[in-house]
Amino acid sequence: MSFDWAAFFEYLPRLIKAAGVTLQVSLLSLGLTCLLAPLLAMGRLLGPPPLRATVQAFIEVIRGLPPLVVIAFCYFALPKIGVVLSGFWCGVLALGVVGAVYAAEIIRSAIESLGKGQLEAALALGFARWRAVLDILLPQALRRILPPLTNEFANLIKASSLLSVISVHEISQVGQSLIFETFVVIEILVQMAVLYLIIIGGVSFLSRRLEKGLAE
Amino acid sequence: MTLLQARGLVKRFGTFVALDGVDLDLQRGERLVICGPSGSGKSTLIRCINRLEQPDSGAITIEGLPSTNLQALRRRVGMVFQQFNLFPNLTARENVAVAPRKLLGLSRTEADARAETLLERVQLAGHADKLPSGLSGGQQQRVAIARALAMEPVLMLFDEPTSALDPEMIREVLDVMVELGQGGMSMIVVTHEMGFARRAADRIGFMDQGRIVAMAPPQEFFDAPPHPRLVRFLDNILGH
Repeated sequence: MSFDWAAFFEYLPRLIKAAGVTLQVSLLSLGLTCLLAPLLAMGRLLGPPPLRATVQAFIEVIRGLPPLVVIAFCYFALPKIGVVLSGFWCGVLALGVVGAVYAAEIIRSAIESLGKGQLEAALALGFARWRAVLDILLPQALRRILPPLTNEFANLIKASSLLSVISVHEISQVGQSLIFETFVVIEILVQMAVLYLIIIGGVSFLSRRLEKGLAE
Repeated sequence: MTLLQARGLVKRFGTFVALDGVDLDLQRGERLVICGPSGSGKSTLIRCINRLEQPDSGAITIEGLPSTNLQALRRRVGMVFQQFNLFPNLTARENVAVAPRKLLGLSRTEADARAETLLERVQLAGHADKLPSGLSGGQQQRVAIARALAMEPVLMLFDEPTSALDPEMIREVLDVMVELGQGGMSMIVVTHEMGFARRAADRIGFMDQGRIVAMAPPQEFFDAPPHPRLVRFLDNILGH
């Protein structure tokens, strides 16, 4: 089998542009995840019982669905209730929500794994429950949260490939249509793989730096 | 003057009755030791006083006030745990300073100064910058005492403070507690350390099956135990 370098370089610019879209969708949904996950975790840990139950139900439902279904739901069902989003923003929303429920569970279990004694010590000093969680428990839990969260971020970036089904021009969608147009398969698959690896590698690198920073 | 008054405290865990109608009065400056077999409700009693457990019925007043505001109540009542429960990510100084800083609005300098003073008082002046993992059990428990004192409580609760310690470290913790009592702090101490009880308590209470069945000053408590079950209990723990 010969590797067609001419074809490789001919299609590279289109895929790099698509990588830009993947990166944008990923970063925006990561941002949404970072915004939503602590709220969900705190709602689950600290909310009054009805809120706790609602948040838990929401988390269970989203976790029980394949991301593809959540994406399709956002794209096809939301317009029925008057929320019309472009494929791009639909993808950001769906991936952000999916990432947030997993991240919320990571945060919650890290805080709960600290043990009852830590919470009781803070309560006994006069911290209200929510302040005990934010001021005393969360800083301790951070080190346990970050490594699995990095994993989750990588999953999120990979899941962005699913947005090809709602015609977001990210790496997978552009790669697939190029393959169907040109029948250049291996070269384009290699490009796709390398671009994903660069993006995910970059995120992993940044979060390892952050972990080290926290450890000091 | 009465500092603490508890009336008719009942606490159940499922079908198990941990507290079965406990009345308790503590005078200001009084040092009360509570002992009894395990499962007799000692820990539950003091955990109800600062509401780490919510009693099913009964009433508690501290300084004549019912404890409606949980946070305000807990700020006036310090607690020391069997397992220390220090915050492992904070140095000894930060462990002591964190509550005054976050809850009383002290500046970092003020809170650190308060922490230094308290660490000195528990004989840990040179250890302020160490993390709990770098301290022995006895040292950790003394940091925990300093941490509780940092909120300037009117009452200190000790929940088996030496039960998790190696024998050679028990003394250093008890010494700090004796000194605290001599300084006029009101204290309720759940412990099996009968030497400490004899040395430092004004009164000793004996609990059995969720009730305080005997309460007497040390001399009477040990020399003329006022309850048959107490006689057996003392035989068991002093016998060897």
